[in-house]
Amino acid sequence: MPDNEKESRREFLARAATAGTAFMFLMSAGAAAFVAFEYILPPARSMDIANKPMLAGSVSEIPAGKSKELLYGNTAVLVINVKGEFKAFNAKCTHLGCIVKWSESKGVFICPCHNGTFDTNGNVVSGPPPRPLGRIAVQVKEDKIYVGGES
Amino acid sequence: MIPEDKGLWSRFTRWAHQSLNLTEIADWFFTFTGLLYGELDRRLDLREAIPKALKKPVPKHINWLFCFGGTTFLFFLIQLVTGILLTLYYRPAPEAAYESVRHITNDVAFGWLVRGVHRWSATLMIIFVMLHMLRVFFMGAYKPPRELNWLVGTGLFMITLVFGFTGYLLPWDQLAYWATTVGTEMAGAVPVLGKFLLLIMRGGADVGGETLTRFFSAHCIILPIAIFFLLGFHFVILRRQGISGPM
Repeated sequence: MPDNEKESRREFLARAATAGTAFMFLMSAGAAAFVAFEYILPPARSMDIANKPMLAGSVSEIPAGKSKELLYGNTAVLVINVKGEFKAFNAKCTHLGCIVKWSESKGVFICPCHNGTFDTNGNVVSGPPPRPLGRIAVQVKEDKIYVGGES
Repeated sequence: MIPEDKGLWSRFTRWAHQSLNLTEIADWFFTFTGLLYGELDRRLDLREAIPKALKKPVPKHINWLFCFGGTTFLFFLIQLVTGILLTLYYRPAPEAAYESVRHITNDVAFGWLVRGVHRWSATLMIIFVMLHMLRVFFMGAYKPPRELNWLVGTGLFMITLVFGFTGYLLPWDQLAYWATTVGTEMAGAVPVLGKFLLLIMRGGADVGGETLTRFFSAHCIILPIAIFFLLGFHFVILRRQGISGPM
């Protein structure tokens, strides 16, 4: 419409209605997109994150050179007995997240997925893992082994 | 384009060229059933369209290398049919998935065949989509004005790979579980976005029931819809621009 022509009331109302409808459509689309995005994100489950020491078993249960697997919260934990000293590690391989196994005969942790190996301190011996295994605190009280909590 | 030498194969192709004229067969079928020149044509005016579509000439320079894309599409159709059949018995829940796959394989009549064909056709589809891409690349068929179809094809290639990745989890055995753990962990290594991607893909901190339903939804609903539209786009562009020229 040329500038010098006056906008009629009918035209103004039509344009206002169009703009209002378009605005409402955009707002609804934005709200729908937001709802869909929030829906796709999984709810933050109350992942009973373990922060207190947990009973892992008795000392006699894990003789020297042996290991025990257990769940600490949602974390797979391996407790090993190295010549009488108990150590615990997060069993999740630092390469791509498979669960490592303790090999008694070789004295190392071995990941079955890509053959990453870790020594009794959790350090990488060979294979693709970029970092040592996560260390988990161990306490021995009166023949009982506790994992987790403060070290 | 009819070979002249006397070999068995060329005699067969010559016979096929002369006898199995698909255009005439289709024309005969529609005419005979009275559809094309009868009820349908009266309403939809198809008389010219169908023969024109069927009689589109194929350029002289094409050879078997030009069949990879069509072969990929053939395997896609096989995946569509066998995949729909598999969903009749498959149950996407952690307690039920492995057992339902075992049931399909061992109990259902020809279940082993449907599952086996779906699995092998998936592998062959990936192989042929790669051969197709190599053909397009080395013949320079991606060059202007066909860049858009190359981009659409790249999308189709990625969708095909994600089809493979998501389908691999569905049997819910040890191999599937740890392959998905490793695969999603790789996505988790992406800078900045990694943790978010990992959470979106797994539906939780670890691979679990939520991952299974997510992958099932992607494999059986989201990706089929996506590939349907992209394939349609791919073919419409191809038809509009024609097959690329000789090398």
